[in-house]
Amino acid sequence: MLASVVVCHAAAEALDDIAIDETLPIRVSPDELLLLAAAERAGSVCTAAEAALAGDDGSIVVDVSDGHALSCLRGDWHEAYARLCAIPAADPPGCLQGLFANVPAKLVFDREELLVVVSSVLAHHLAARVLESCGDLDVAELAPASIAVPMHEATA
Amino acid sequence: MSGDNAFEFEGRRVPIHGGDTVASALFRTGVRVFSRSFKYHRRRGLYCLTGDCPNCLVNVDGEPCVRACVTAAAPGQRVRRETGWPSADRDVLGVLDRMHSLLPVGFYYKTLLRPRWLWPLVEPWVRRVAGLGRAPTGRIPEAREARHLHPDVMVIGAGVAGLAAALAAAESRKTVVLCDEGRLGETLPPGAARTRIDQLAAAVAAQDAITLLEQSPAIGIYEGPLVVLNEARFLHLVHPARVIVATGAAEEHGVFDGNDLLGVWLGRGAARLAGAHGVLPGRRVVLVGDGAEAREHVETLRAAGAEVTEAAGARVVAAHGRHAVRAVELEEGSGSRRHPCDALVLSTGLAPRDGLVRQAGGLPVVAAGDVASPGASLADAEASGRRAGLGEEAEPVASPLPGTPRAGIVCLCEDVGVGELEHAWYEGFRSTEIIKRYTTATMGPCQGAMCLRHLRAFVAAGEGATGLGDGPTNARPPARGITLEQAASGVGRELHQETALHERHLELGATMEPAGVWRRPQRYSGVEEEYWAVRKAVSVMDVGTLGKFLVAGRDATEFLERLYPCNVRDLEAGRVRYALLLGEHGFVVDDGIVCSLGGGRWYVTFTSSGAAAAEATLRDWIETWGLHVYLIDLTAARGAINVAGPRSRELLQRLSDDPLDNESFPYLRHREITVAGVDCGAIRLGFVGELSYELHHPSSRSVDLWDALLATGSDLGIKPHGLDALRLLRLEKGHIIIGQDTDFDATPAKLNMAWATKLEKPMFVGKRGVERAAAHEMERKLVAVEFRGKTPPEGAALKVGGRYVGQLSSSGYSHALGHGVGLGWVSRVNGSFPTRVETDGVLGTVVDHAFYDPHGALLRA
Repeated sequence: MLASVVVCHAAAEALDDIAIDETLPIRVSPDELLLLAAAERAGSVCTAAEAALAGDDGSIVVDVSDGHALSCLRGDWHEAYARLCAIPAADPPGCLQGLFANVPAKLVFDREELLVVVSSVLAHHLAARVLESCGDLDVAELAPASIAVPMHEATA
Repeated sequence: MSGDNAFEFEGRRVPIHGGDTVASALFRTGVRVFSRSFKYHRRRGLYCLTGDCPNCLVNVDGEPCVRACVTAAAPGQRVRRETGWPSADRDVLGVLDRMHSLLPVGFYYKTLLRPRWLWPLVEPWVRRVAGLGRAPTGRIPEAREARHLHPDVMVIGAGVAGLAAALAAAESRKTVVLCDEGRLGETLPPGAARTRIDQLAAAVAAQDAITLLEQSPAIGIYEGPLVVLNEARFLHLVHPARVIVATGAAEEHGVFDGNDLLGVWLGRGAARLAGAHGVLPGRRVVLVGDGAEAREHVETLRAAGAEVTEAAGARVVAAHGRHAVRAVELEEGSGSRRHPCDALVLSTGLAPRDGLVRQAGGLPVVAAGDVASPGASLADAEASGRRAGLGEEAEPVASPLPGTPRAGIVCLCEDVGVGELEHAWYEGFRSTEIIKRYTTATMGPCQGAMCLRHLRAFVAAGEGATGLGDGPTNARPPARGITLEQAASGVGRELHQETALHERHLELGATMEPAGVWRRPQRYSGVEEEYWAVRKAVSVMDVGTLGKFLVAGRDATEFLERLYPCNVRDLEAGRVRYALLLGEHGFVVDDGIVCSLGGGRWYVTFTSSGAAAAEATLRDWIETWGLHVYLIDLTAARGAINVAGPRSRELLQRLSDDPLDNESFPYLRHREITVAGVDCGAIRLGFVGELSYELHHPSSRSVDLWDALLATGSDLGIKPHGLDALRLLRLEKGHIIIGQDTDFDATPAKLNMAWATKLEKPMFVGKRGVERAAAHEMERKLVAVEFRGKTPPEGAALKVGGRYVGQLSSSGYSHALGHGVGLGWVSRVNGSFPTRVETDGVLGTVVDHAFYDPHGALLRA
């Protein structure tokens, strides 16, 4: 597992208050939050999220890491992105979701890299299409070594 | 022809000189007829040499409708003309040019309609005779990419105005994509414009902010705005903040008697042929036109060696000649005069190439240069481009229409002359849009570039004009011809889903097949071998493709109780129930299982190909009812392996310390167990009719689990089984496959599955539909049929007394039972459903139980 993905479903206000160290949050909808973290931290992130949402009756936290494949594009990723996605890039830090190389994806923008999150059952398309379209670019497609790009201040 | 600087033209070798287009090379070798006109098969020769007219459409390397005048000649090309039979030079169908009275405008609306059988016979011949070329059906299309670009500014057209616009935008720190349908300046003859373009091009090349795409015609401007460029390698989908159209102007097409004779040229075309390619359009040239550009053309032609008679200010009355021009009659102040010539060159005005501008509607698109103000000076065109590049709006200058056409061909593409327009007018078609539709003028390859202004002038001068729709006609993409292959760039890049075991299946030699959005193993070795492994030993199957969902939230139980026709609330933790999913109409749309996890949480499954639609249905109902329900898709996160066969328990016990006996783990229960170190949610099911454990687990552990099962079960005779074996195994149990055995109106009762619906429930989705159907006598239903003798194929018709009563939806030979079995739909015969049927000479008996293990003892073992 290259990185963990934990989904949290709860009331919007409850999700607003979640702040777990060293996680990358992607707010998919008012009642759905994805927390991305290092591979070995899925369990602890789940535990922390459940504790944070304990007051929300009916909330649920599930480790869905196996359902996702994460890739990191570095180098000329801006050019690669421009070729492969119809949606203008978001200003970093930011995220959006849409078709990337015709694969449904969640995209997280950082200055140095682009994180691409796709369903694990479609991941085989992504690598092939990136290489096919961007073989002339200096794009390194890497599995994220660690999600060390917190999108918010780490809480004490 | 390889290694030779030449191309092949209809069996002849055509040498290529530097910078040649296909047209210039052919003309140099003496080719004068490039095509035959659409309807009357008139000879057509080179005319514009700017890619605007339809005269030089040829087939190059199998691709039809290629504009020879803007296509670079290359060694090894194979070029041929596509119109005319047996050849463009000697076309038997040229006789149609003498039959104008028999082929009036719109003749196909009036003739050949009675008797009714006549038109279907004639139509193929008419289409063949009137075609512009044949589509290359023998070639497999290439998959092409589409790429996205996101500049601040898109500039279409790299003439003086376009280049200036791009530079101005870049200087004001905008990113720019600049495109042109040809190479920069290639369609211009030597002169001031060509020189200035070269200078500006050098400046553009030095600007990093400008991406120049040559030979990339803009196909259309769409909402967004989105500009689509058709480059040879890709389709570029450009998403700019604003668009500048600087597509310039074409020379005004001349309309007069004889205007389509060979040897009649537009000025830029003649000058380009002479100046850029060193080929004279004729030796004795009459040039009609005034203005600086006309004078430049005269100089170019004279410098190339032509004898040029200037006729500034004259009006062409007629061009004379049998097939090629021999003389031109001019009205020159004091009267008409006839001038002998072998080339008539026209430089009488400009028509803006404004198709893209007219497409743009309310989008942020501005016009610059000749397209906005035809005939502006070079300096003005450049200034116009600069202003557009800086974001300044400019009012386009209205370009006066040409004089009313009196004679000659107005629409070269569709062979519509003034006579045809007058005929249509007489018949009452009296506005631009209507007369366009009736005559098809402006609807050919040039899309009105040559003829629209003349059509409007005709309408404007017509007595009794309606005044409605007399402006320019609507312009729609594509602005330039595009093949279906090119238009499909980036489209149809199908996505198919693969489980974590995909590579393992390939390593085992599986034949993979599309199954909905998935790739699944059809078979590994032989179907019978796999079948017997399930029936006699133990087998594994990758069922990770099943739709799997976690249903949670305060109202999860209530939600499922309303959704499913079966009871849900009464399921204790650890229990499993088979469930149909109905539409509001009461018809079966999918099926699966419901597992009670306890604590108000549920695990539900759907079929592999129906899961996406089922999920949408569930989310729809959650929203409709306003219930507090969370639906979490675990399809990709959870793998699933079905371990099936009489020795399945024995195999699993080797790999698990958890109790798997029937008392601890009965049929239709689920348990958390650990198998080969992998935590699994195991479910006892019976789709294939044997003792089975379906192991749901984290998909990252699928390979470990699969490998452990195959390795540990090798002495038990384990084999994986694929879809072919599965279909037969479940058929022997009479289990349906949604979409194969169900029809669009399959109620549970028609499927003999009324037991899966609890009508005593106060409500469930589809209840009213089920009740409505139950109030009427069932007219058809699904039955199980045993066959003795040859097994009929799926889809075979079922008959009673020779009369068709239905068809088989599933069929196969049962190895265990030694005869054919099937599921099929039958209608009532004389008020009753048949108990015996016949298909293709084979007799079948309808049974009311599963063929194999009818009491289910094996799967409950």
